[in-house]
Amino acid sequence: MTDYRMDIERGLKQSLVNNARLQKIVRRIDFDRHNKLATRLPVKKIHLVAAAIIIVGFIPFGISFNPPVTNTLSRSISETITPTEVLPLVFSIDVNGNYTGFSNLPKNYTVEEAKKDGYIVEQDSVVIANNEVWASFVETAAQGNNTAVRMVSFLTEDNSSPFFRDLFFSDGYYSLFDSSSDKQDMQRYSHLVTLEGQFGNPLKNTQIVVLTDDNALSFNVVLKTLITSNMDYKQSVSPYRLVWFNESEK
Amino acid sequence: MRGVNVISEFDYLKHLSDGHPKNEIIQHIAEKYGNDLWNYAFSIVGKPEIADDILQDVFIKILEKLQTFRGGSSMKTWLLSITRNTAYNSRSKWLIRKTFSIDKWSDQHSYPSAETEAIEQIEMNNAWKIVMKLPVKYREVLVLFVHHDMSQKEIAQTIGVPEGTIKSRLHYARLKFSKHYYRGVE
Repeated sequence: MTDYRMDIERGLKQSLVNNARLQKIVRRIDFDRHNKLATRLPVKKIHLVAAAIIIVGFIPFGISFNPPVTNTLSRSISETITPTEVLPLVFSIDVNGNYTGFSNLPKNYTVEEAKKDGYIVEQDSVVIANNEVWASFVETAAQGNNTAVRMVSFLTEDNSSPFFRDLFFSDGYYSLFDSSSDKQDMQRYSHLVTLEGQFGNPLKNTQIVVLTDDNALSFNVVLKTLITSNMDYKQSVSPYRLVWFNESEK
Repeated sequence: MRGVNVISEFDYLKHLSDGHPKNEIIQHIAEKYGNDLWNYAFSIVGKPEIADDILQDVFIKILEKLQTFRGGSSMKTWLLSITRNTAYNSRSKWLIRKTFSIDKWSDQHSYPSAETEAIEQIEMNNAWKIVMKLPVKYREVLVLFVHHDMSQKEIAQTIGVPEGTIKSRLHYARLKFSKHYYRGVE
């Protein structure tokens, strides 16, 4: 019987990709756009100053959240809400236009803590707790009122911390921030669109929720952008931001 | 990778970022590290075309982050960390593709697994085929240890878990590999 360890050592040394494939990937990059960026970026410390934009949304159902330190110019609508019922999720943007709401995220955060805090909790891309908070968010935003919701996503196969997503509806626009993203710049969208259809399993309905400025965006168009590698097609579709991809039994 | 000269890699990146056009920088990195980054991305997502997308994103991130590399870790560890983050961050997309293929559904009414599809598209030897059947947390450490020749400490640094966890995962990865292996041999 052959020793499996030798097969691992020899077999896994094999590369599965060839140079032609790598070159094709490099050619897909729009270098014209990136060459416009400074090659050497100046190193400077970014100080949060009092002019930061602070807008406050809220999460219903008594969600506990410790807001980051604000300043004298900040304004808060939480004053009108009983603190024991609702604590604010602060929509804080620094002078560089970046969201600062993830600066004090809890460490070693667990699923149970997230459930208790009232956040929408996802485990391996399936919502497992506080789904009703989402309906409330959608309804409040549809009425034109500022609101916010925090979604916490855990991955079973990964022991590292969960990632957080904060979705705001503020002054008529939606903005989504993701703690796992390298960029926290604010992108505003006019519409929160829920698209429904069938994809894959015929026994299940698929629901895709996106932020977009194009409320005519269709289920099939969004699906195609998710599964295609054709960059020309992706770029031809109105910009959108994926919020949810859900499946449910028919 | 064990015993790699960190200083020379730092100088190499510094040299690259000093006024060279972006496409030349990425061309250098693709030639030197492209294979490793693609294989790592593939070992996480299990689909070649998604590994392509991830590598493209990684190259763009490298352009944006060149100045943040300070030689604290080896350059390869730094690049693999970016690749890992990109692969996991895009999981909402690749999970969709991992689970379904709209074209295959309409053509065949079947649900090919990520591994089955990968095997169809990429020529893999027996070891890779077995590894791609393991849960991602096991195959990831096995690929980093064997294919990328990383130490357990470097893997722990890349994945962001304690070294003891890596040791444990490697043990179970080998165990699971051997079960699949001997099942196939016999």
